[in-house]
Amino acid sequence: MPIKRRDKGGKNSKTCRLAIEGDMTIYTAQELKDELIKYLGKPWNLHIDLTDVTELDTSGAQLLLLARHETDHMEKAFEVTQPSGAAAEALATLNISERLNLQAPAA
Amino acid sequence: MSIDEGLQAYIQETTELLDQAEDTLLSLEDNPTDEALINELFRAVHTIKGASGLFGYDDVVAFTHEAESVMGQVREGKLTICSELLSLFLKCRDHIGTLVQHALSGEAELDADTQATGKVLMDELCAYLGHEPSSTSASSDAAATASEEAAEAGPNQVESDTWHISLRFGPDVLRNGMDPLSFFRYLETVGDIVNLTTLDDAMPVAEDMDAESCYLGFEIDLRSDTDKETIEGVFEFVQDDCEIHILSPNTSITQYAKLIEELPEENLRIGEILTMSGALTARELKEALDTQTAAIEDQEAEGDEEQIVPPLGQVVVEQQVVAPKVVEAALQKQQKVKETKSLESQAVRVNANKLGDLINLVGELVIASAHSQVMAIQTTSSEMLESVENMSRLVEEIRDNALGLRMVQIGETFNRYRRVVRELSKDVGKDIELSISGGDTELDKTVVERITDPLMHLVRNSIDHGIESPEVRAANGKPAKSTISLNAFHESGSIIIEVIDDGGGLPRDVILAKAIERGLVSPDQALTDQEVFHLIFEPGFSTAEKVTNISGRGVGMDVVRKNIDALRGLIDVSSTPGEGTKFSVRLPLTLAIIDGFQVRVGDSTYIIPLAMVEECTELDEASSKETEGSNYINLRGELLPFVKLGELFSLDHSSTKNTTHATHRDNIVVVQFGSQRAGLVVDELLGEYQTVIKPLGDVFQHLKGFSGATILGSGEVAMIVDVPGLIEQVTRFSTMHSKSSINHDKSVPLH
Repeated sequence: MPIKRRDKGGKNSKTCRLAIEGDMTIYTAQELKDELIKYLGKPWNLHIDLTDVTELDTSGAQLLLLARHETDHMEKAFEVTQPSGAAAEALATLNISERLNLQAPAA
Repeated sequence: MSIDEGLQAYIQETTELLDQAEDTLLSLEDNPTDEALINELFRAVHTIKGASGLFGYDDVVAFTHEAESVMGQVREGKLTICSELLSLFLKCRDHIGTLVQHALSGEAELDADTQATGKVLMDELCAYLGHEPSSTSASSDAAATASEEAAEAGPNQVESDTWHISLRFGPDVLRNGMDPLSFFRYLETVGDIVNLTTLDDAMPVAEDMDAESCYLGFEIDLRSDTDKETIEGVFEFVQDDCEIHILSPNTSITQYAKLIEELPEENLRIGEILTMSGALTARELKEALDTQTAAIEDQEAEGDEEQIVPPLGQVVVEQQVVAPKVVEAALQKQQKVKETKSLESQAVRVNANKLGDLINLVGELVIASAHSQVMAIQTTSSEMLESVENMSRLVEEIRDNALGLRMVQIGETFNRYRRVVRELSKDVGKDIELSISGGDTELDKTVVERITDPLMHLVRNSIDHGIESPEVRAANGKPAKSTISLNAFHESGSIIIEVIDDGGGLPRDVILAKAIERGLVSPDQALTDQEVFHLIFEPGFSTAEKVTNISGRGVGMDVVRKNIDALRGLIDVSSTPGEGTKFSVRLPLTLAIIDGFQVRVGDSTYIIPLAMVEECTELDEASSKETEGSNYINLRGELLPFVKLGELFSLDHSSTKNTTHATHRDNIVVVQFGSQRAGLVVDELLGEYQTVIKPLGDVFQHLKGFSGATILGSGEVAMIVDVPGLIEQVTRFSTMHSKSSINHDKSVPLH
């Protein structure tokens, strides 16, 4: 499973912490979206950890934007953390780090 | 795709586009207001520019840009198509062709002529654009491009000094393997991306979102001193799939207003982004939106009650009505592009050499199959015979199909002459219309290629000599507009191409006088009209009193005939004084393989092209005696000239040795070529035979009576009889007998 849930889950949890692994590219986009959609549209905050993302292209970035859209819609918080080098570079090029509320890695 | 392949594609594409541009221009002449044509023209030139930019051919880009600008004006309705403008465009099209050739040749400097032409055209183009020619004579650099647009813009310039690029990717970009990210990385090599805003406004709700579709748009500010073409070049590969707007630095507020309106997002949002990214200041944005408001007001003011200036919000609402339309238009455009693409994919491009190889192999296959047939007959095994029979039937089908692959319609070639007629008729001050029929007649591509020049000569000749000057026409009570017709049609295994003009006809007396003067005929010779007209095909023969730059130098008509002869064709001319002249060119459909009729003369086998065989009849003893010494027989009441192949090829001795006179029975093969018929007397008829034509070597080039050779199934070589040549000989031969005329050597020694 390329998307892992890091928190304990349960009905009462207020924040859902996800970690995405591997490539976030057009080749995996459909699969990722099918998994990601399970965590969307729920009344919780969404944190996505990108430490283990090996590659991120426009379709990957688009999925993150989709998640952001959905949390906006639910009026919940969204953040992306610990982007890997490749992911950080792509998000910076697209200038969406801010929009995705990227938390800079701890120095 | 390697650079070489890319370059190949470029060459092919530009050639096609230039052809297309020419066709479009000529069609525009008849329908000057046809928007579809104007758009087509614009697109063709625009694509050439784009592609040239991608390969860095700056000369091409610079010139094409100007031409495109003028065409753009036409498209926007600021200029109307007129004859002069079309001529200019045609010249520009040629010049672009020259520039492309030059760019491909890799030489650094343009030669003086080309430069001068370019300068003149550029000046003319600039006159249409209404700006100083001097400032734009070398406008490939960004400064000039920028200043142009600035000039259009007038005083309302935007202060920012960056390029502004708006991108709205189509849904299929990602699926097609394009990643916008990689374009941005590439863009960074072109300039400095000052700002990039990703727009995800079009993102649907999660359920409806397709992860493989693209919903993103981008607003980019780029600081770069490159030119627009380079930036466009970056997005070359997605341009069909992406809505791209590029605004140059210091462009006008109006341009931005237009951009804001054209983008699918609502105006305020775009405005916000533009100000945030620093492309526009708040004041400029307000001005831009005001411009729009004013425009809308203008539209609504007509027949309206007191219209107060609508508040900004209302403008946006108005614009939202507009926006979907824009999107729809963009979608339609994409749809159209896709449709043409799918049309293209129905045809496969194949290298002509490969086709040639295939045809050669099929030729060998035909020979091999004939050989196995001979072998099979010797085995007398009926099963073997049956299977070989089957195979040769298939081989025959393969042959027809393979030859069919090379068949092309002649229409494209005909269309080329439209340009010639248009320009030459202008040069000589005649009003000439070219009418084309039978453009869908198909013939072998190699034949088409080799007939193009001879036909060109004929057309030029008609324009210059055939058609009279307007004054003469008027004096003779003919309509001022003259017509040259190009017709093509099939007739008994040949294709006939006619070039007909409604001019004054060939001056029989002048031609005859000239021929006598040149010693081609003697004054006391009685020649038919046909024979006189044929004199114009003699080398160096010209009746034109003065040499024009179109024709009249006396080279041409003999070259025409030589070329047509080389194609195993025949040219005929007929003319009625005061009514016009008709040249008909008769050509074989293909050069490679024919259906032949195998005959035996003496010990040798000969092939007569079957398409020219009309009938076979017996030359019985009685008529043989009757015709003794003459060269005619009476065929059902018609006089038919004939020639004994055995005598002609000096084979008679060997043949009489083998066959005793009592049992000998001659056959006449009646052949027809054009309107002429003749009989060929042979010893035996052997039947139909698929003949692969092998050209004769240089040594035999001057051998008359044969058009080629072939290899029989038995491995023997058989000569192919040159029927047109023989008919000519036979008919001349008989005239010579009775009138002792033209001093040509008619004997054909062999062996």
